[in-house]
Amino acid sequence: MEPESFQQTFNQLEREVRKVIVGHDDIIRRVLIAFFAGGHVLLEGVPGLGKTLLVKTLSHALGVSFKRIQFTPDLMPSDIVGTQVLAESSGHREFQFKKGPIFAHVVLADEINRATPKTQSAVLEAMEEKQVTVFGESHVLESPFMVLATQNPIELEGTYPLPEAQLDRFFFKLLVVPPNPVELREILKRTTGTESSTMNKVLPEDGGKLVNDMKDLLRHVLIAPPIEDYVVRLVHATQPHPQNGSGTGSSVKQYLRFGSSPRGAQSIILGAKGNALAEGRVHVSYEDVEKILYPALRHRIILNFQAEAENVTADQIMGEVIKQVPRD
Amino acid sequence: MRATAQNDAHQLPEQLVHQVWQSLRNHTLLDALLIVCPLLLTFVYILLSLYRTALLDALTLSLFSMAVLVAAISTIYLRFRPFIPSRPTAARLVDEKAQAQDRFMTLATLGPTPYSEIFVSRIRREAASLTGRIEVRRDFPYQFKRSFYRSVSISVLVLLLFQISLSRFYTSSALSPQKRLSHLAEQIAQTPHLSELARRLKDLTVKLDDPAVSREEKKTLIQETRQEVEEQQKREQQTESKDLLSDASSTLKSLEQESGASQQQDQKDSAGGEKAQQGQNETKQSSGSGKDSKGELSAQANKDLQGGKSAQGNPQGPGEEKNPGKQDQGKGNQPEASKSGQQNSQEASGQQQAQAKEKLGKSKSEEIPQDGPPADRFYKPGEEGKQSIKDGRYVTVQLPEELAAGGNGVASTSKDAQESRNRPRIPVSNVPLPAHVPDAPSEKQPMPLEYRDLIR
Repeated sequence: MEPESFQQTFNQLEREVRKVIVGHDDIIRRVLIAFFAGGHVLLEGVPGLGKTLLVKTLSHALGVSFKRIQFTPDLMPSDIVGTQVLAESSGHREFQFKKGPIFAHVVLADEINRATPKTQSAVLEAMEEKQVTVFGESHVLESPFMVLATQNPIELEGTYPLPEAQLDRFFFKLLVVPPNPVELREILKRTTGTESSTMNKVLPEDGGKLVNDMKDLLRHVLIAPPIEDYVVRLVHATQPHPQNGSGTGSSVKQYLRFGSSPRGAQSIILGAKGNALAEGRVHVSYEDVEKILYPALRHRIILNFQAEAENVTADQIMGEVIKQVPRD
Repeated sequence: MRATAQNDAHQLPEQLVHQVWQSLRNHTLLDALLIVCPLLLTFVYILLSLYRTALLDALTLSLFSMAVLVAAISTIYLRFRPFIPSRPTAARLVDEKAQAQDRFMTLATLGPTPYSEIFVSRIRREAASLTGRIEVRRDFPYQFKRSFYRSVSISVLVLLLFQISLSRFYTSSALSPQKRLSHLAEQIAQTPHLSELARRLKDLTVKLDDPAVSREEKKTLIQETRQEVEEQQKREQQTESKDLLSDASSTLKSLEQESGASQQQDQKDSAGGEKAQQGQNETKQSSGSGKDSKGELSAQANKDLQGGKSAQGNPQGPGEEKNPGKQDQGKGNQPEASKSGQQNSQEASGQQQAQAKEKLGKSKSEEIPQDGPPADRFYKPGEEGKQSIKDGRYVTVQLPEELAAGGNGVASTSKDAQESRNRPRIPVSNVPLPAHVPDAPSEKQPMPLEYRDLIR
């Protein structure tokens, strides 16, 4: 596949999704980048911002299967991965595996923080392994496979915050913000009137090969060694303990309990490559890295109690890190 | 041909980065040189100045020069090497100038790892299309750094301090004219065609230190040498040699003046000794009864009166040109009369001193010598001068007509002199004098009214 074809397909996907979703241009781009990078995305935002609609639209534009799982406190793992049921066929009874909603190309795990940790872990295995195990039998999930999880930041009662180990498995964490007045006006115009927006499929039904080609092309994007070193220094700068990291910033030492894992560096590089391809380049630049840094690391650095008490956010700390780490 | 053109285009981004890197490396070298060179030149100037002024010999100069040179080269090397920018840095600068989004940097840093050739050639093509935005000299000009300005300021300051110290050293009393002459001789000796003159100057300094050589001989030698130096100075064409010879000439002049002054001092000493002897003889012989308690003052005042005033012997109207002959006669008559008066006053002063000695019971050695040599402002016996005070300027006072008619300008008898001594002493003149003109006739002024009754 040529980089120009990738860019063309990518832009087309963006255009089709924008026909339905108003605003959130950066969210759409990053979700697409995560999709072609083979990662999963955690969307955080208050209800009613179009998170579910975004995922549905995206999966429709991609021409892939889509399943939505509404997480509730009483949701069981078998409700997600599937279970064996007793079925009768050919005159005798046998257990048959009935696939759960996880067996889709794009899975929307809505309000994942409302489910119990046991249920959450079922999803995590699927996200990491690309397979599920039921009664000792493993079932491979079809490629491409992407989980888009959402969580509500305002309802904390009756929720089970995702543990750090599970958070680390998400490629990006994107913050969905409320629309501005212009976007809100457009939303009202589209949803309360007689107009209806129609979008077209960009990828064909059997677009799996195309998607795999695009994923493969993304990994071929060139990245210069100084930029790789820059990524390494950035991730290293998030470590608060001197023996583990550079501990350059005072805010890192003051507000962080743990820094980013190596998965953070992988996310940055793959995300930067995807961003470069989306802009029509075949090489990564420093700007690509700096654009991808926030969604890649904000859920991987663990704030301490003092940060929470002083309302210091992960994004603020990431801003300090970028200022303190030079490019060369 | 197309492949060659493509190859040329492909080479361009790397070539541009290489050119920029070379330019930046040269800038770094220039930075190092501009920091070190002002200081190096300052040191060299100081060393050469010390050598020229013979404060440093040739061997020491060579050693110091070598040391300074080695230090300068080491400093340049140490300053230059760590600051050479790397090729990725040069590539990044090119990216910034060309807004190439790190294409040049990516091309400059991709190693031998197997990357997609299609991607590499695509980046190279894109970078080549952007090379037109860069002009090395325009976009990477050399700029003088603060370190250079600091180096120049320090060098200028050191130079100024050195020059001030050197000039103070030469104007200090540590360098007498003889030592200065010796230094100059060493400097002049460095010029080949002046070596003979330098040798003569050195011989002169040796003879000046030699006590066996008489003062007259020294003075003669100094004069002869000075003439030689001045003749050579006229013939000399090189400015540096001329300056040295001029210095030598002025030093010899000061030596000549010193020797003349010392000769005069010797003469003063000898004349003062004679006078003391003469005074002592007169006190023994005389039996005068001088009542004037201020013996010295009276003697001095007499001298002043007799040397300055021609009132008694020269009655002339105001505005008339003085008759030099008459004036001289008048003045000539006065010294004869003044001599006898002077002797009498000296006798009186000697008697008074003897009485004072007896009264106070002081020993001779404790007394202030009254009969010592006269002060330097007075002419010694044998010295030229019309008046008694050296370079003294006098005003001729015109007497009123009734007094002028009675006097003939001659102090006739000792009685008159005695009477004049008894009168209160008045200043010779209290009128402001004009600038001294040696050949101008004496100025005539009317006598002030308040003095007319006092002078009879």
